[in-house]
Amino acid sequence: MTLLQNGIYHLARQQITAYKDFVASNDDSDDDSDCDDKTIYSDDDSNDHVSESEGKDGEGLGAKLLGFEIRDIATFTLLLDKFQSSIDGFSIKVDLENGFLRVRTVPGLPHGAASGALSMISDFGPKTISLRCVGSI
Amino acid sequence: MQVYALRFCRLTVLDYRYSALSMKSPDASFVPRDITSPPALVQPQWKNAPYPTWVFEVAHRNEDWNRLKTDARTKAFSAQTSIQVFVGVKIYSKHFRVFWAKRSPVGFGMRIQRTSPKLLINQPTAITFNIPATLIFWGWPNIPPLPSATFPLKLDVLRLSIVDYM
Repeated sequence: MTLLQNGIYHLARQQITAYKDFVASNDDSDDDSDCDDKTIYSDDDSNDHVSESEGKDGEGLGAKLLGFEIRDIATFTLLLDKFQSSIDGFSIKVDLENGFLRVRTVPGLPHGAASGALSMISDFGPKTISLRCVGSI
Repeated sequence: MQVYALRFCRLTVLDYRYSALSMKSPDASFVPRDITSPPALVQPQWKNAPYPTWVFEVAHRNEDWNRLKTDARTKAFSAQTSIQVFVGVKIYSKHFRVFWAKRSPVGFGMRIQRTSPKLLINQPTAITFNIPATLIFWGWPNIPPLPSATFPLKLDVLRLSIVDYM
Protein backbone atom coordinates (compact mmCIF):
# COMPACT_ATOMS: atom_id res chain seq x y z
CA MET A 1 0.00 0.00 0.00
CA THR A 2 2.82 2.37 0.84
CA LEU A 3 4.46 1.74 -2.54
CA LEU A 4 1.15 2.46 -4.23
CA GLN A 5 0.65 5.65 -2.23
CA ASN A 6 4.20 6.73 -2.99
CA GLY A 7 3.52 6.23 -6.68
CA ILE A 8 0.36 8.31 -6.46
CA TYR A 9 2.11 11.10 -4.57
CA HIS A 10 4.97 11.09 -7.06
CA LEU A 11 2.60 11.67 -9.97
CA ALA A 12 0.67 14.21 -7.92
CA ARG A 13 3.78 16.23 -7.20
CA GLN A 14 4.70 16.21 -10.89
CA GLN A 15 1.27 17.59 -11.73
CA ILE A 16 1.47 20.22 -9.01
CA THR A 17 4.82 21.34 -10.41
CA ALA A 18 3.33 21.50 -13.91
CA TYR A 19 0.40 23.55 -12.64
CA LYS A 20 2.66 25.95 -10.76
CA ASP A 21 4.87 26.32 -13.83
CA PHE A 22 1.81 27.31 -15.85
CA VAL A 23 0.80 29.83 -13.21
CA ALA A 24 4.32 31.25 -13.02
CA SER A 25 4.60 31.60 -16.78
CA ASN A 26 1.17 33.25 -16.91
CA ASP A 27 0.72 31.45 -20.21
CA ASP A 28 -2.85 31.68 -21.36
CA SER A 29 -2.42 30.07 -24.75
CA ASP A 30 -2.30 26.50 -23.49
CA ASP A 31 -3.12 23.83 -26.03
CA ASP A 32 -6.18 25.52 -27.34
CA SER A 33 -5.12 25.85 -30.94
CA ASP A 34 -8.62 25.29 -32.23
CA CYS A 35 -10.00 28.12 -30.16
CA ASP A 36 -11.71 31.03 -31.86
CA ASP A 37 -13.79 33.93 -30.72
CA LYS A 38 -17.15 32.61 -31.80
CA THR A 39 -19.69 30.58 -29.99
CA ILE A 40 -20.11 27.34 -31.87
CA TYR A 41 -23.52 25.78 -32.24
CA SER A 42 -23.75 22.30 -33.54
CA ASP A 43 -26.01 19.33 -33.60
CA ASP A 44 -23.58 17.05 -35.27
CA ASP A 45 -19.99 16.00 -34.85
CA SER A 46 -18.55 18.59 -37.20
CA ASN A 47 -17.00 20.69 -34.43
CA ASP A 48 -15.87 17.79 -32.32
CA HIS A 49 -12.18 17.91 -33.08
CA VAL A 50 -11.28 14.95 -30.92
CA SER A 51 -10.74 12.20 -33.42
CA GLU A 52 -11.60 8.62 -32.68
CA SER A 53 -7.93 7.75 -32.42
CA GLU A 54 -7.50 10.33 -29.67
CA GLY A 55 -10.00 8.51 -27.56
CA LYS A 56 -7.73 5.59 -26.97
CA ASP A 57 -6.42 4.45 -23.63
CA GLY A 58 -4.22 6.83 -21.73
CA GLU A 59 -5.16 10.19 -23.14
CA GLY A 60 -7.74 11.55 -20.75
CA LEU A 61 -7.21 13.96 -17.90
CA GLY A 62 -4.52 12.94 -15.43
CA ALA A 63 -1.62 10.52 -15.73
CA LYS A 64 -1.54 6.75 -15.63
CA LEU A 65 0.36 5.07 -12.82
CA LEU A 66 2.20 2.17 -14.40
CA GLY A 67 3.40 -0.84 -12.47
CA PHE A 68 0.31 -1.42 -10.36
CA GLU A 69 -2.59 -3.32 -11.82
CA ILE A 70 -5.93 -3.79 -10.10
CA ARG A 71 -7.86 -6.75 -11.38
CA ASP A 72 -11.37 -6.06 -10.10
CA ILE A 73 -13.64 -3.14 -9.36
CA ALA A 74 -14.32 -4.31 -5.80
CA THR A 75 -10.68 -3.94 -4.86
CA PHE A 76 -10.58 -0.47 -6.34
CA THR A 77 -13.69 0.69 -4.47
CA LEU A 78 -12.25 -0.68 -1.23
CA LEU A 79 -9.06 1.27 -1.81
CA LEU A 80 -10.77 4.48 -2.90
CA ASP A 81 -10.91 6.04 0.56
CA LYS A 82 -7.20 5.49 1.01
CA PHE A 83 -6.40 7.07 -2.35
CA GLN A 84 -8.30 10.31 -1.87
CA SER A 85 -6.15 12.92 -0.24
CA SER A 86 -4.61 16.30 -0.74
CA ILE A 87 -1.17 17.88 -0.92
CA ASP A 88 -0.35 21.58 -0.55
CA GLY A 89 -3.89 22.69 -1.30
CA PHE A 90 -4.27 20.35 -4.27
CA SER A 91 -6.79 17.53 -4.28
CA ILE A 92 -5.73 14.16 -5.61
CA LYS A 93 -8.31 12.25 -7.63
CA VAL A 94 -7.67 8.64 -8.51
CA ASP A 95 -9.58 6.86 -11.26
CA LEU A 96 -9.31 3.33 -12.58
CA GLU A 97 -8.56 2.90 -16.27
CA ASN A 98 -8.40 -0.60 -17.69
CA GLY A 99 -7.01 -1.90 -14.43
CA PHE A 100 -4.46 0.87 -13.94
CA LEU A 101 -4.75 3.89 -11.70
CA ARG A 102 -5.03 7.30 -13.30
CA VAL A 103 -3.98 10.12 -11.00
CA ARG A 104 -5.26 13.63 -11.40
CA THR A 105 -4.23 16.50 -9.16
CA VAL A 106 -6.36 19.63 -9.16
CA PRO A 107 -6.01 22.95 -7.31
CA GLY A 108 -8.45 22.57 -4.43
CA LEU A 109 -10.05 25.99 -4.15
CA PRO A 110 -10.67 26.84 -7.82
CA HIS A 111 -11.68 23.29 -8.53
CA GLY A 112 -14.14 23.19 -5.67
CA ALA A 113 -15.55 26.58 -6.65
CA ALA A 114 -16.02 25.60 -10.29
CA SER A 115 -17.36 22.15 -9.51
CA GLY A 116 -19.80 23.59 -7.01
CA ALA A 117 -21.03 26.26 -9.42
CA LEU A 118 -24.00 24.22 -10.54
CA SER A 119 -25.33 24.04 -7.03
CA MET A 120 -25.22 27.84 -6.87
CA ILE A 121 -27.11 28.15 -10.13
CA SER A 122 -30.02 26.15 -8.94
CA ASP A 123 -32.38 26.05 -6.07
CA PHE A 124 -31.43 22.90 -4.27
CA GLY A 125 -33.83 21.81 -1.59
CA PRO A 126 -31.85 20.48 1.34
CA LYS A 127 -34.20 17.58 1.77
CA THR A 128 -33.98 16.40 -1.78
CA ILE A 129 -30.28 16.12 -2.44
CA SER A 130 -27.33 14.33 -1.05
CA LEU A 131 -24.00 16.03 -1.47
CA ARG A 132 -20.39 15.02 -1.22
CA CYS A 133 -18.00 17.84 -1.90
CA VAL A 134 -14.82 17.58 -3.91
CA GLY A 135 -11.99 20.02 -4.02
CA SER A 136 -11.53 20.31 -0.30
CA ILE A 137 -8.07 21.04 0.96
CA MET B 1 -31.02 33.58 -9.20
CA GLN B 2 -32.47 31.03 -11.55
CA VAL B 3 -34.86 28.75 -9.79
CA TYR B 4 -35.03 25.55 -11.68
CA ALA B 5 -36.11 22.11 -10.82
CA LEU B 6 -32.68 20.66 -10.15
CA ARG B 7 -34.08 20.29 -6.66
CA PHE B 8 -35.56 17.16 -8.15
CA CYS B 9 -32.05 15.85 -8.65
CA ARG B 10 -29.40 14.54 -6.33
CA LEU B 11 -25.94 16.02 -6.58
CA THR B 12 -23.39 13.28 -6.35
CA VAL B 13 -19.74 12.62 -7.05
CA LEU B 14 -19.88 8.86 -6.93
CA ASP B 15 -17.37 7.31 -9.30
CA TYR B 16 -19.03 5.88 -12.35
CA ARG B 17 -17.94 2.73 -14.14
CA TYR B 18 -17.48 3.06 -17.88
CA SER B 19 -15.91 -0.27 -18.77
CA ALA B 20 -15.18 -3.58 -17.09
CA LEU B 21 -12.09 -2.30 -15.27
CA SER B 22 -12.48 1.45 -15.50
CA MET B 23 -14.04 3.95 -13.12
CA LYS B 24 -14.08 7.74 -13.27
CA SER B 25 -14.68 10.23 -10.51
CA PRO B 26 -16.69 13.14 -11.95
CA ASP B 27 -16.22 16.63 -10.58
CA ALA B 28 -19.98 16.81 -10.08
CA SER B 29 -22.93 14.84 -11.35
CA PHE B 30 -26.68 14.78 -11.01
CA VAL B 31 -29.15 11.97 -10.72
CA PRO B 32 -32.88 12.67 -11.11
CA ARG B 33 -34.60 11.81 -7.86
CA ASP B 34 -37.20 9.50 -9.41
CA ILE B 35 -35.08 8.03 -12.17
CA THR B 36 -36.04 4.47 -13.05
CA SER B 37 -34.15 1.52 -14.40
CA PRO B 38 -34.74 0.76 -17.17
CA PRO B 39 -34.00 2.92 -19.05
CA ALA B 40 -31.23 4.08 -16.71
CA LEU B 41 -28.33 1.71 -16.33
CA VAL B 42 -27.26 0.81 -12.81
CA GLN B 43 -23.93 0.39 -11.08
CA PRO B 44 -23.64 -2.87 -9.16
CA GLN B 45 -20.61 -1.62 -7.25
CA TRP B 46 -22.82 1.11 -5.73
CA LYS B 47 -25.75 -1.12 -4.75
CA ASN B 48 -27.32 -0.68 -8.18
CA ALA B 49 -27.44 3.10 -7.98
CA PRO B 50 -28.43 4.51 -11.38
CA TYR B 51 -25.90 6.39 -13.45
CA PRO B 52 -26.22 10.14 -13.30
CA THR B 53 -27.81 11.93 -16.23
CA TRP B 54 -25.56 14.97 -16.02
CA VAL B 55 -21.80 15.05 -15.46
CA PHE B 56 -19.75 18.18 -14.92
CA GLU B 57 -15.98 18.25 -15.39
CA VAL B 58 -13.43 21.03 -14.89
CA ALA B 59 -9.99 21.09 -16.51
CA HIS B 60 -7.32 23.36 -15.10
CA ARG B 61 -4.41 25.27 -16.58
CA ASN B 62 -2.11 22.28 -16.94
CA GLU B 63 -4.89 20.06 -18.36
CA ASP B 64 -5.77 20.43 -22.00
CA TRP B 65 -9.05 21.02 -23.75
CA ASN B 66 -8.86 17.99 -26.00
CA ARG B 67 -8.28 15.65 -23.10
CA LEU B 68 -11.39 17.08 -21.47
CA LYS B 69 -13.36 16.26 -24.61
CA THR B 70 -11.75 12.83 -24.83
CA ASP B 71 -12.92 12.05 -21.32
CA ALA B 72 -16.44 13.08 -22.26
CA ARG B 73 -16.48 10.99 -25.41
CA THR B 74 -14.85 7.82 -24.18
CA LYS B 75 -15.76 7.75 -20.49
CA ALA B 76 -18.95 9.67 -19.73
CA PHE B 77 -20.58 8.65 -23.01
CA SER B 78 -19.31 5.09 -23.03
CA ALA B 79 -21.89 2.48 -24.01
CA GLN B 80 -21.80 1.16 -20.45
CA THR B 81 -23.15 4.36 -18.86
CA SER B 82 -26.47 6.15 -19.32
CA ILE B 83 -25.12 9.67 -18.82
CA GLN B 84 -27.00 12.07 -21.10
CA VAL B 85 -25.34 15.46 -20.63
CA PHE B 86 -21.72 16.49 -20.19
CA VAL B 87 -20.65 20.03 -19.34
CA GLY B 88 -16.92 20.65 -19.60
CA VAL B 89 -15.16 23.75 -18.32
CA LYS B 90 -11.58 24.63 -19.14
CA ILE B 91 -9.87 27.21 -16.95
CA TYR B 92 -6.93 29.23 -18.28
CA SER B 93 -4.99 31.89 -16.43
CA LYS B 94 -7.22 34.77 -17.59
CA HIS B 95 -9.94 32.99 -19.51
CA PHE B 96 -12.33 30.11 -19.34
CA ARG B 97 -14.17 28.10 -21.94
CA VAL B 98 -17.19 25.80 -21.75
CA PHE B 99 -18.90 23.20 -23.90
CA TRP B 100 -21.85 20.98 -23.44
CA ALA B 101 -22.58 17.73 -25.21
CA LYS B 102 -25.17 15.02 -25.28
CA ARG B 103 -24.97 11.31 -25.95
CA SER B 104 -24.84 10.36 -29.59
CA PRO B 105 -28.02 8.72 -30.90
CA VAL B 106 -26.05 5.57 -31.71
CA GLY B 107 -25.73 4.95 -27.96
CA PHE B 108 -22.11 5.89 -27.33
CA GLY B 109 -19.87 8.82 -28.14
CA MET B 110 -20.93 12.42 -28.00
CA ARG B 111 -22.42 15.21 -29.96
CA ILE B 112 -21.18 18.60 -28.86
CA GLN B 113 -24.11 20.96 -28.82
CA ARG B 114 -22.47 24.23 -28.03
CA THR B 115 -18.97 25.53 -27.36
CA SER B 116 -18.30 28.96 -25.96
CA PRO B 117 -15.50 31.18 -27.15
CA LYS B 118 -12.56 31.71 -24.83
CA LEU B 119 -14.10 34.14 -22.35
CA LEU B 120 -12.27 36.64 -20.19
CA ILE B 121 -12.62 35.72 -16.56
CA ASN B 122 -12.99 39.34 -15.44
CA GLN B 123 -15.58 40.32 -18.04
CA PRO B 124 -19.28 39.55 -17.67
CA THR B 125 -20.84 37.36 -20.32
CA ALA B 126 -24.44 36.94 -21.37
CA ILE B 127 -23.92 33.51 -22.87
CA THR B 128 -26.38 30.93 -21.62
CA PHE B 129 -26.41 27.27 -22.53
CA ASN B 130 -29.95 25.94 -22.62
CA ILE B 131 -29.88 22.27 -21.74
CA PRO B 132 -33.08 20.34 -22.45
CA ALA B 133 -34.92 19.13 -19.39
CA THR B 134 -35.71 15.93 -21.23
CA LEU B 135 -32.01 15.06 -21.06
CA ILE B 136 -31.50 16.14 -17.44
CA PHE B 137 -34.59 14.22 -16.36
CA TRP B 138 -34.03 11.36 -18.75
CA GLY B 139 -35.32 8.16 -17.17
CA TRP B 140 -37.91 9.92 -15.01
CA PRO B 141 -41.30 8.57 -16.17
CA ASN B 142 -43.22 11.77 -15.53
CA ILE B 143 -41.01 14.81 -15.68
CA PRO B 144 -41.96 17.22 -12.85
CA PRO B 145 -43.47 20.61 -13.66
CA LEU B 146 -40.66 22.92 -14.70
CA PRO B 147 -40.41 26.66 -15.25
CA SER B 148 -39.08 26.06 -18.76
CA ALA B 149 -38.27 23.26 -21.14
CA THR B 150 -34.55 23.92 -20.84
CA PHE B 151 -32.16 24.48 -17.99
CA PRO B 152 -30.45 27.86 -18.45
CA LEU B 153 -26.80 27.38 -17.61
CA LYS B 154 -25.59 30.95 -17.33
CA LEU B 155 -21.86 31.09 -17.91
CA ASP B 156 -21.62 34.30 -15.93
CA VAL B 157 -22.70 32.47 -12.79
CA LEU B 158 -19.92 30.01 -13.42
CA ARG B 159 -17.49 32.86 -14.05
CA LEU B 160 -18.42 34.59 -10.79
CA SER B 161 -17.92 31.41 -8.84
CA ILE B 162 -14.32 30.98 -10.00
CA VAL B 163 -13.07 34.53 -10.56
CA ASP B 164 -11.95 34.99 -6.96
CA TYR B 165 -9.76 31.91 -7.14
CA MET B 166 -7.92 32.75 -10.36
